[in-house]
Amino acid sequence: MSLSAKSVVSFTLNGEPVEVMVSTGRYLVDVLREDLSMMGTKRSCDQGVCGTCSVLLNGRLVSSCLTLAVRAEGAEVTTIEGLGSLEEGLHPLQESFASHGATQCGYCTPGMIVSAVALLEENPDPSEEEIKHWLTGNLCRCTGYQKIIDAIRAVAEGRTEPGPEAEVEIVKAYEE
Amino acid sequence: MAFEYLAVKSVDEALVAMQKYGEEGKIYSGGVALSILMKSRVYEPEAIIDISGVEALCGIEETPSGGVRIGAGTPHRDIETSALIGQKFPLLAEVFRNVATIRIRNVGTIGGNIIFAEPASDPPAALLVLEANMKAKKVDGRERTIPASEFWTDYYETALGEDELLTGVEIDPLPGGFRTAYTRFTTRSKEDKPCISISVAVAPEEDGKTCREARIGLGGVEAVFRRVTAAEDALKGVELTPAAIDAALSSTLDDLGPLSDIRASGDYRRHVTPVFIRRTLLKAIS
Repeated sequence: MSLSAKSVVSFTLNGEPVEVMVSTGRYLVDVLREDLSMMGTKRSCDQGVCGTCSVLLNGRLVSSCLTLAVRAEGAEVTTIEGLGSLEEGLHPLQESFASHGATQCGYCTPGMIVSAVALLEENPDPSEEEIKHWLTGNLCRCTGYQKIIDAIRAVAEGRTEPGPEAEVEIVKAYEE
Repeated sequence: MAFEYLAVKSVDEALVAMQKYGEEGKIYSGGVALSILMKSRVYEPEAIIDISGVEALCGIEETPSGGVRIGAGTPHRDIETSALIGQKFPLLAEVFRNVATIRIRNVGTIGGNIIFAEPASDPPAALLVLEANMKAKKVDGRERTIPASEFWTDYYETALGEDELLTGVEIDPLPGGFRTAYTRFTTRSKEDKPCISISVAVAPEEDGKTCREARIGLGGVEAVFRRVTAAEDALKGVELTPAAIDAALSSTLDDLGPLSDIRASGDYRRHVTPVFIRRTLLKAIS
């Protein structure tokens, strides 16, 4: 295949066929957001470090900011929008992130959830250490990682609500 | 930015495209380092030659010598999870498990890593101690083998010519008795590139503690990956205790030319490099 400066790229986006005219130098994250209005996938560092642009390309977790849009030709692309929605039902990981409060500003959340989907696909019962190793490349700068890890562990255990161990122990220092 | 995009299907097609575009054509495989270089306008190529669809460049197979051949386009992740690598070269499996993040390992390739030759990187030091051989093919079809010890030539520079395509990395089995270990030290965050990356292979004598032969590969310390051969020689016949290792290293690392960068100063690297070498050697024989 040889493409000149501007070409039509066809791929499957969240199960729907799409066609989009792109310049060869554009990256998938920009085409998803600007041309296809899939705003769940974020662009932050733009160099594969932060994880906010995580998508699945033929089931494999990638940084869409390092994926040329022409590389999506013929591929299946899954973004956070393809996992679930309020209207059509949330994905268990989306439910679990919400019920665990594993989100604060929300900017990293789509990337976290897409990463977690890929993790559970490969390893349905990851240990806390395995979750941490997998999420090393997804940065959160506000809520902290423990609730995110708890939310993923919950889904691995077949639930989406916090378990009793997630209850915060309140230390009443003033009664001492 | 826009360019001609050529998704080639064979090594020969790639070589034809390389000949046509010369320096204006860039080989694109995982697209990690090259994308970053293009975004920062270091490269503005006329053509991108995408080799990710070339099956002959991707995969891991056993060689007649009992070693492995890793296609240049094999993603880090495939090396990390390969049963063959895990069985024959656990050092490589461990090193590749620690390269960047899962998303980068899913696409970034061994070939891209060693050609980019960024000093802050893990695989080259391991490939040095395993005495890997890099296989390249010129646009005229001639093949060449470049030993790891001659592959990295300068800061971000390799011995690979502009008219050569890296096709694979071949590694023969280590001679009997060698044990390997790896240490990765980061100064900023877990997922950062290594400040210091050390791979070693040690063959103790039958007593299990006297060093018969040691190979020590350095990454992240200097501009160019290399083995510290003076230190390797000094360790021969030495009983591998912390004090004896320190004594052997104290006089043999004087020629170290450490980098000063955002991860550490040169003085700091000079000070801690022998410490990490000692720890890695002890880990290998423990």
